[in-house]
Amino acid sequence: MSTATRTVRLQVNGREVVREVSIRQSLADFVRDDLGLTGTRLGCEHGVCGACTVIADAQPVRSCLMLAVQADGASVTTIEGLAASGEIDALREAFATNFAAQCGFCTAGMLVSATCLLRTTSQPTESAIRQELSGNLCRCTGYGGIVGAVQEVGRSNR
Amino acid sequence: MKPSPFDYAVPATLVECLELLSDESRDIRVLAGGQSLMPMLNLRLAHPDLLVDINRIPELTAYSIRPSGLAVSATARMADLESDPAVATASPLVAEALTLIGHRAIRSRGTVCGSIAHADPAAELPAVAVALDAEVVLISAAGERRLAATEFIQGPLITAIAATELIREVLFPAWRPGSGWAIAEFSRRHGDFAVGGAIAILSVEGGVVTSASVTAFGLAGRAQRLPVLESTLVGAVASPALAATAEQQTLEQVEVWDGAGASGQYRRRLASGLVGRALRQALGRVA
Repeated sequence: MSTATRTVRLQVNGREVVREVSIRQSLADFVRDDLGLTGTRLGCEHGVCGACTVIADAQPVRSCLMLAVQADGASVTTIEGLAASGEIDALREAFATNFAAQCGFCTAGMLVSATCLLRTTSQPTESAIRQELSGNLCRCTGYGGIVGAVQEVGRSNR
Repeated sequence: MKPSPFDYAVPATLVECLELLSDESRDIRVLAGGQSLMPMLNLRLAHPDLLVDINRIPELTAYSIRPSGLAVSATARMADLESDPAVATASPLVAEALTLIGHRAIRSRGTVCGSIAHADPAAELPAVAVALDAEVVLISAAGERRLAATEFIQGPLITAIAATELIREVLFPAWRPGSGWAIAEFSRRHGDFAVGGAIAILSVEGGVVTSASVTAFGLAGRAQRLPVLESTLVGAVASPALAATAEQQTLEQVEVWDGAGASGQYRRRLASGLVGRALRQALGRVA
């Protein structure tokens, strides 16, 4: 049973990818192990910590809770894709100047979630940011710098 | 943690799906949004022989607003309903409850029917289904049956669903225009499972309460209506003073678990406060 595989065809960071995957492999493990895109992290593997957040078909999703086979036909963007496109340039700069990363483990998930928020809400309030990022846990920073960074980028969006 | 081995099927039609489910010799689980099931698989709290992925069945993806109410099919996503203003108009309680569920990423994939099928005692949607007397439509290869939400949800993660069945849709009854309503919940952090919650829905005519639905959730094995309180409210003059009555009656009537993070006394007081809050808000919303 566990050796059963299926072929998936999907877009990852704008490129078409065709691979044979184990049916019980998560999308998170697929992007990390099969595609070498290790920016996406695994924290809790049960959907609570947010470190595994990626964008699938324009929605933020927990890649630890999606099977790779379920991503067949989907368009997936990982943190690497957001970096390559330049979409998170302002956020990365703001994270640096606001001391929003220490160990960096939550950072990719934070940036993905923040990106999804900023795509739909210009100039989000602190309260809205805290609510939207509540699904991304950070053990190091106490969140202040992270929220400040997102707010700063939001304010600079006109 | 990784799931233990399973077989996987992704039927393209409902008929094919129901045929797969009719095999009672195997432990089969339906995979919709996966936001409750995949954690269980990853933590090895569940180890089905076969996972039937229903996400590629076109007729299960939609929701619709009908004269009878808001009908939500098996794989309609929480995020899609949340972002649709027509849903907020057709059923403001459902729309608000959705915003309280987990986090944005969970709602991208999570399904309304899946939450009800999972029947977590602290979950908002099963409580909303109970509060609104929603109807659960179950389907199997043998046919269809309908159950009231209060019959369907039996206990913590326990429902009346048979192994061969799938929730085809949930129907939230048509909203009574002018109803007052509120959902109040307490969780330690935004998006955490509710430690307790309350839902109040009222109709008021000529300053008198003509119907009342009061539901407490997260406090015991399943969402519970408070029928004695409801019958006290019906016929009473609609005033903020009712909240104090409701708080006192909730203390006396609510069923609570004792232990596992909170004492029974704490839960009882929490329920009381949340019912009072929900009732005050509901009264304020009566049009």
